[in-house]
Amino acid sequence: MSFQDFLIISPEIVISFTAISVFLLDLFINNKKFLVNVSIAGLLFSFILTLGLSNGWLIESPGVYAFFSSIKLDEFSLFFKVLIILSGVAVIGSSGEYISSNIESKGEFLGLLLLSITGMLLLVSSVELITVWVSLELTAIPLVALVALGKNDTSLEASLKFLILSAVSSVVILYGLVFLYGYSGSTYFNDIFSYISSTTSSPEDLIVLNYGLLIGIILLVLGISFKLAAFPFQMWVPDVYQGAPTPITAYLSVVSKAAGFAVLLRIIYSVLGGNDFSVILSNLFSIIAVFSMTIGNVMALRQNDIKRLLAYSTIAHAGYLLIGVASLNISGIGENLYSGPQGVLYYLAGYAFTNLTAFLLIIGVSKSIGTFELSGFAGLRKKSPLTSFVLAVSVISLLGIPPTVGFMSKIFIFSAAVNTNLTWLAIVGVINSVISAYYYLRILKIVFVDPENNQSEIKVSKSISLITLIGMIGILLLGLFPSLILEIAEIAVMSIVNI
Amino acid sequence: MNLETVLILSGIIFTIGLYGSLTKKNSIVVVMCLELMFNAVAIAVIGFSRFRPPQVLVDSDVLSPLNVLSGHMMAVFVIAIGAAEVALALALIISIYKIKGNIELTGLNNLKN
Amino acid sequence: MNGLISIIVFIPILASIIILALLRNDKLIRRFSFSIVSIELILTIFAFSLYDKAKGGIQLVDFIEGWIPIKGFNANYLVGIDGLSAPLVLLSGILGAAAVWGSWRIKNRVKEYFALLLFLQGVVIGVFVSLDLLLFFIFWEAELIPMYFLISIWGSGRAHYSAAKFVIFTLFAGALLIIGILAIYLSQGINSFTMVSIPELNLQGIPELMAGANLLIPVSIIFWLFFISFAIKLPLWPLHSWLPDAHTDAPTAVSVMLAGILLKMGGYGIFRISLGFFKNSSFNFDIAAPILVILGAISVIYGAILTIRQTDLKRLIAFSSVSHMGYVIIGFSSLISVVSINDTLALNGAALQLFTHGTITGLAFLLVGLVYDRTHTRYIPDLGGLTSKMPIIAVFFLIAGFGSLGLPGLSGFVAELMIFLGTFQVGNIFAIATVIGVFGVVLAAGYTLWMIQRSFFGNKPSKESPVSKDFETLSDMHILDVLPVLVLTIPIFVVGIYPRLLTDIIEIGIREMFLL
Repeated sequence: MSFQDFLIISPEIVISFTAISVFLLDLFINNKKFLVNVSIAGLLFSFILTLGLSNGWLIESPGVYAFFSSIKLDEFSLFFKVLIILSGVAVIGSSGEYISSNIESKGEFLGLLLLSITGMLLLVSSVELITVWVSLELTAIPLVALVALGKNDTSLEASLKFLILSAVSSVVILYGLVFLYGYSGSTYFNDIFSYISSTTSSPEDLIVLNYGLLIGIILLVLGISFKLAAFPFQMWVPDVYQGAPTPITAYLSVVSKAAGFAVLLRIIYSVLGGNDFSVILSNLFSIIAVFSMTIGNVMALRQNDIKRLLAYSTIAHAGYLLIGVASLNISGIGENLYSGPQGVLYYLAGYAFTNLTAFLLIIGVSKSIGTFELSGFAGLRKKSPLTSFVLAVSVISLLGIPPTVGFMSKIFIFSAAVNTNLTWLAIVGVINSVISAYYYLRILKIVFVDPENNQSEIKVSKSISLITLIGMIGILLLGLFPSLILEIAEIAVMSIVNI
Repeated sequence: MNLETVLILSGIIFTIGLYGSLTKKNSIVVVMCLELMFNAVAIAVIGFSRFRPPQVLVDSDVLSPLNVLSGHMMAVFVIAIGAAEVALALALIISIYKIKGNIELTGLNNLKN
Repeated sequence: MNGLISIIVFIPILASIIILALLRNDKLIRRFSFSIVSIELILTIFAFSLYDKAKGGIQLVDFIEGWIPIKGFNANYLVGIDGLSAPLVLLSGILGAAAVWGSWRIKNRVKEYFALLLFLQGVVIGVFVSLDLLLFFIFWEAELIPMYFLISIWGSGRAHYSAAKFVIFTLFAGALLIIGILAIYLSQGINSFTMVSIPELNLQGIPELMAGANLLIPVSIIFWLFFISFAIKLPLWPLHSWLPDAHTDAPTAVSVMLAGILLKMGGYGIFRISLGFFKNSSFNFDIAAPILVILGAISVIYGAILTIRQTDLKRLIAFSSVSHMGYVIIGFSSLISVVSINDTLALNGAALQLFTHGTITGLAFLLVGLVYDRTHTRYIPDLGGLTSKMPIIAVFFLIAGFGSLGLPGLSGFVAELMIFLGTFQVGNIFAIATVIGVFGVVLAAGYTLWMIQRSFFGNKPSKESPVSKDFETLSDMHILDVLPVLVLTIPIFVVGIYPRLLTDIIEIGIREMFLL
């Protein structure tokens, strides 16, 4: 262990220290607003450190290992670190008002959230099975407690459900990891990759010799579907999203999902690399994608609670993202070798902007109208034109209509699918986005067309307004100039591929 | 005794745990089933570590001495984190008991299907 | 790079942002929008007249390379006009102006209304001028949101239902379209979004590349993906069911835009892509063309028969659109026999029909709007004898009606005659379809005249009718309505009397599509 090792995980160290100091300060300080500021300062500091790591200020260049090669700092992990930290800033920055009125244990709320963020940051950079699993648990356990922190007893129930399913999924993941370890003899991604490549000569051989690895991978994928909010572990999503405190819902829907996809992509491209497992995996992902999209969109049609509706929409979006994952093109035709994962990264970045904007606005608005029922949003346009405009932009982006980032993301994902001879999957995807129009339009109709049915005044706090405005600008900017992210995404994807 | 026996044992315990955790109503029983699953995994990883020692690996620059013991280490981590999960679950069950007076998982009915 | 086309596309879009962000006063917003569409009208006329017929090809090109420059997804910003799109750009200028000028009565949520209407005009022109498939698709989809709000907020009747139906049908069309676009783009040997070849810029278009390409999925599937998508938009029987609802419930100006230029997006796509891309590929039109002509003929007759049965003025005109768009497909199917430049008569007619139907039906919708503003009903049996109270409206209504049934001297006649003459020559089933099409004109004469007779002539409304109460107070056209009505009427006469103004330029466009 050298000094550089610690430098490499300095963003994580800073955030976990911030978390501990928030726990401690909570005991002595009455002004809880201060705690929020401390958390944000810690996150921003670690953001600066992350930038330093990527620009060569702190270490020579990305692509280095740390702690006995169990952590790798590469462009891929940097991409996700930036995404996760910024989403964390957005969630914590805009939840100050929510915390002061809805949460009793304010210090714990912030501290646990920061710990969970630490776990995500470790997760996206770990290249060793034990580290993967430990960081996975570090993200999940604080989240369970966070879901329970809401003031009502539904959040307790939601939290217990969340805990049980989260534990089941993580044991399934663990079982998968154990098989990977057991049949390859190592817990290091690179070693497993070398083992697989060295034992194989023909595709049939590969699968016959490595059925244990295959079981491992399938268990892993099924377990990770919990993190992604995808089929077959999707049933917790609506209940937990509805019961959890809204900032946590936003966090779950964006950051948790992003970290899940990071692990998935890293395992596919670093561990399995250019092997013929990809055909089986591609089929597996296609099936999961089809079910997730269809279940999400069809169930969302009948929801009247906006958090539940967005929960189902999250499941559907996990499905679209999995189309990108299913578009494994390892043998590759021409230039667009990795358009699938590249599209996934772009989609996740865009989805972070879109979904955070939507959820944070809902936090702001529902505080004034006192309900999460869709009908409560009627006449929002009249009460707060700017809020409803920003909400409309994010809903349009979720629906995938230009000039928003949601449109471009879908184009890239579907293009990756068509490019890898998964045209049928792309067709299922586009038809699903047509179905989704029905419920997204309903939100637009209620906000813009329906007459108002209550007199409550809408007061959205300044921090939420600022963050959602930035979000809206991001949605439009990335929609019009997708290459801003795509070029980075390409470098990121290239850094994890083992061939 | 060989690897297959260990894996079959682990598989049986895991299945019992999975079935129980998704169908049982009493939350204490569900937590017990979770614990069963954790232990099933621990058995499997110890078995792998005992019967399939680490191979001579191609990529030597990431090979570390810890590699040899990684199976045992993994088992320790499994036990520790499993305990953490269970502790949290018990804490939650106690607070639910305080509010509702029982520990039935009524809301989880939909998982039965 | 001279920027004129980009300016035409982005002026309305920028104006809508300015309205939303900066302007507060309703009166100011109205004046601002009026002047923007007037500028737009002048610019489109200017662009149309700048098109050099002797030179041909794509002109007034704006090109920014590498708008999305990543590996394997190389989209450019490329706009320009050719013989096919120039008339449609002109049409969009005219109809946009008529729609905005005709909206001076709007009192409710003025700011959003004009912002959305201008945005709509901008993106629809964008569809006609984009020469990059991705850009084309972006404009194609961007039109949905303004249309949804325009219909559901300012519409009448079941406005939300109709708006949602419109959006879902169009999204479905878009879904097929994007699969087609991606399948073409990702095929080996194409890897380009460029829709036409532009030698000056060293760009090879898809039409040229199609012949040697190794397509990802069978060419016939790609053709039908595109064609069904455009047929929904056109709309062609049996995919038309969104149209009557959307038209009936939309506010007047939106009906004008919808009938006038939004349907033309489908027609334009059929010419630019179904014809342009596939004529040079291995796709065999021998099977497709008869299917098309049959669908076209069914559309014509089915639309006409349904039109006769309608009792709502707006719905009646909406169904007549289905019938008229059927002629476009009949004319289009004659592409099967094109071997030399002299065989493109019916195709020219079909492209001209896009223009003439736009102006004629736009005028009809505008006038129905005027009638409805006064009588507050569109139910034909409740109307009658309106000529005595509103003679000027009646005169213009007659012009629109005669144009629609194809009276010589008006533009509708020229287009339909060209379609019939051209398609009849192909023979066989095409000749039969043409005869059926001609029969459709007879039906058109029937329903148009009958409608005008029932609503404008004949007896005053009976006692039960809601109109009879204040029949005496009905007024004629307001002075502010003259401008939008005239801007639509003038092209009907001009094209009717001097069709070469448009046919010359359309012919160039069609000819280049065949690479003859």
